Amino acid sequence: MSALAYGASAVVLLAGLCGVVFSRDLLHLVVCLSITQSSTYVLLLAVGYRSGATAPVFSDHPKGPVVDPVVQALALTDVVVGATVFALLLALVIQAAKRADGDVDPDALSDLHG
Amino acid sequence: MNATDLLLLPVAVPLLAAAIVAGVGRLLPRILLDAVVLVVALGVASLGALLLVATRRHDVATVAGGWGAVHGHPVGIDVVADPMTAGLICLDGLVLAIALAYTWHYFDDVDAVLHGLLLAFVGGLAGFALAGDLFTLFVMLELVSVIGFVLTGYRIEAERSLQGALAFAVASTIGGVLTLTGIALVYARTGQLALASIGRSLAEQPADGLVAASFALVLAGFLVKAATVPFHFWTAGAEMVAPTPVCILFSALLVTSGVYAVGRIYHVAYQQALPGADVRPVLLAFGAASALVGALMSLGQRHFKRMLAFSTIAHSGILLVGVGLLNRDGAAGAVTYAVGHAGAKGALFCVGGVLLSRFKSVDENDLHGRGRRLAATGVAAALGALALAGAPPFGTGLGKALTEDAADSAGEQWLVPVLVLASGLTGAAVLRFTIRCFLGWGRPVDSGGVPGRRGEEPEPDPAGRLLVSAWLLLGLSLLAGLAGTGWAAHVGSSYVDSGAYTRALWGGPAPPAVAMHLTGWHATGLPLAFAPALLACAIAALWLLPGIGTATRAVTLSVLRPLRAMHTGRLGDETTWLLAGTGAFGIAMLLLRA
Repeated sequence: MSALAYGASAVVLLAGLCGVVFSRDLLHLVVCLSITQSSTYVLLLAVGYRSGATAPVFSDHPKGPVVDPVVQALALTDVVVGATVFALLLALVIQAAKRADGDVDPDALSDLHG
Repeated sequence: MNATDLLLLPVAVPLLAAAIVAGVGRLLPRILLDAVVLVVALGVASLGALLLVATRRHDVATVAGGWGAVHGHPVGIDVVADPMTAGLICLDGLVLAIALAYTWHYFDDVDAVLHGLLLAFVGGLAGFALAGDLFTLFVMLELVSVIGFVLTGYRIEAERSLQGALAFAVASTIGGVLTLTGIALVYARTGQLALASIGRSLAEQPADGLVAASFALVLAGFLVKAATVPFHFWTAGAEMVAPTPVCILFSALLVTSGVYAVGRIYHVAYQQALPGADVRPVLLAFGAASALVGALMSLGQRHFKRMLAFSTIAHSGILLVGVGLLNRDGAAGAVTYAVGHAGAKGALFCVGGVLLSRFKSVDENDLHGRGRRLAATGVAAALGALALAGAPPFGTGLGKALTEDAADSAGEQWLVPVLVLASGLTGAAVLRFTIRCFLGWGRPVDSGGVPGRRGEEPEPDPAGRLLVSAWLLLGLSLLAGLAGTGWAAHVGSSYVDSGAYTRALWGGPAPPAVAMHLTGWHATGLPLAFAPALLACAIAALWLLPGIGTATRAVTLSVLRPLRAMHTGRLGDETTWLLAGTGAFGIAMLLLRA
């Protein structure tokens, strides 16, 4: 079961990276980046998972094994960080689209080479 | 007041000030705004200096969070200051203050956002230096990156700013994802996030491929910041388009912090698990590759800021070589070099700013002979070029000499010519530009093979204040070279001593003090010390002498063709190189273990 989760995380990571490498559209590229980021959520949750355990909430639950709350905190923080990063990236994409009449092929932006 | 009370202030003060400045800054008169921000920057520098005093005998640490101890070990977020951290914070504050002095009349229409961003950037860097656990390091890394790409694209209306910001954003986001993946792997193995606890836990079990893989992945994000080849593709674009004060912060602080994190993570968390023999050759190879690729590429540039950006990549490689030797002497060399380089490179970016404000261009051919009247600027540029070439008595010279001595005694003599060549080539590039622009020697060449880079965003004339910053920064570089080696040995020895780090957190008996001595400038080393500066002069002369110049240029450009072809400026290629670099790092370590 846990091997499946690790495998899924690896597949999501690689799929996102492939998308970034071969992207022909800036918006597509940003979505692929966010897929890449999602792989870390799967990985973190898989790392902290315990079979048969409940959510790490203690107030109204009977005492019993819980999954690792630290990785959940990390995943949450990561979501927040990701939201900031992608909001900014999308703002940049909008600027690029405004300039190029909607054409946002990243390869059209290659003035900075050599 | 206790020294531990000081620990969080270098992060909290600039971040709070940034929030306030961004919130109510537009209501304040400009002069007041500038003054407040300058005071905060100097405050950060003084906090760094206070921490330097506090960490004179031992590291200072606190465990934030207020959870108390579980099983005899404090639970919470480790915050640790050692002389390296303190020095870095002090440098952060000083360079920010000088960059702000430069910014004084920088943007007439500035709406206090730039000030807030610069403050938050430095607050993030201070947090980066103090963070004692991997996740806090990651969060601070992301904070600094996000602000970094906002600053890069500050003039968002310009097309090139957009490209530079995008390249930076994509590289740093992927680096961040790889780092977080590495953190998850090492957490899965050890159940710890604090560097010191990871170190203890890894020491108790045999290291395997997973540990090595997590190390390579964790470092990826930091190597992106350190502009190490092949993680460096964002640097040239970002520093080419970013406003001058931002370039100063990137070259002097961001890159340095990236290299700092590499050594910090290795020494505290991974040293027990991955023996130096497996890691040292890999770090040295990456460092040497950065030094050579950056130096060669910088020689092939006409655009002054892009030339400086590639030279930053080269100098960051030299820093990585110093840190990658994984011993005290190498670290001492790297610290000295870092301060010397921060000053020299910052001063040169100020020169670039002067040229942009006067001529709206930093192109070598455009400016041919046009700088004749700007004598003071020319002198600053020439001094900066010599400092890049590591000429005594600049800090870069002393740092290079110390790193070379350390490499020599570690049996890595092959590094000495690499450092000489890298210093010489970057010095030559800047010297060539300086002579062409400010003296008008040599013939202006057509732009065959090199696309012209016009359409610069003009920067406003800051009424001569630019050069004040340049002189201050050159003074900083000089100070690092003249301050002797005692402080560097002190900083270097605590940086590589994970025992001192964990003792500050958990207590324990201190070992007897060891006498520290490092030979600084010495007569026998003088030929080697001046070698890169002479090399720089010779190469610049080859480019400028009538007759030979054209041939030199043709030969250099043909040698550089494959390297330039690598720098396509495509986001996809940048990503591919980044992944290849991470893979190569991991595989090289695994091969060395086998």
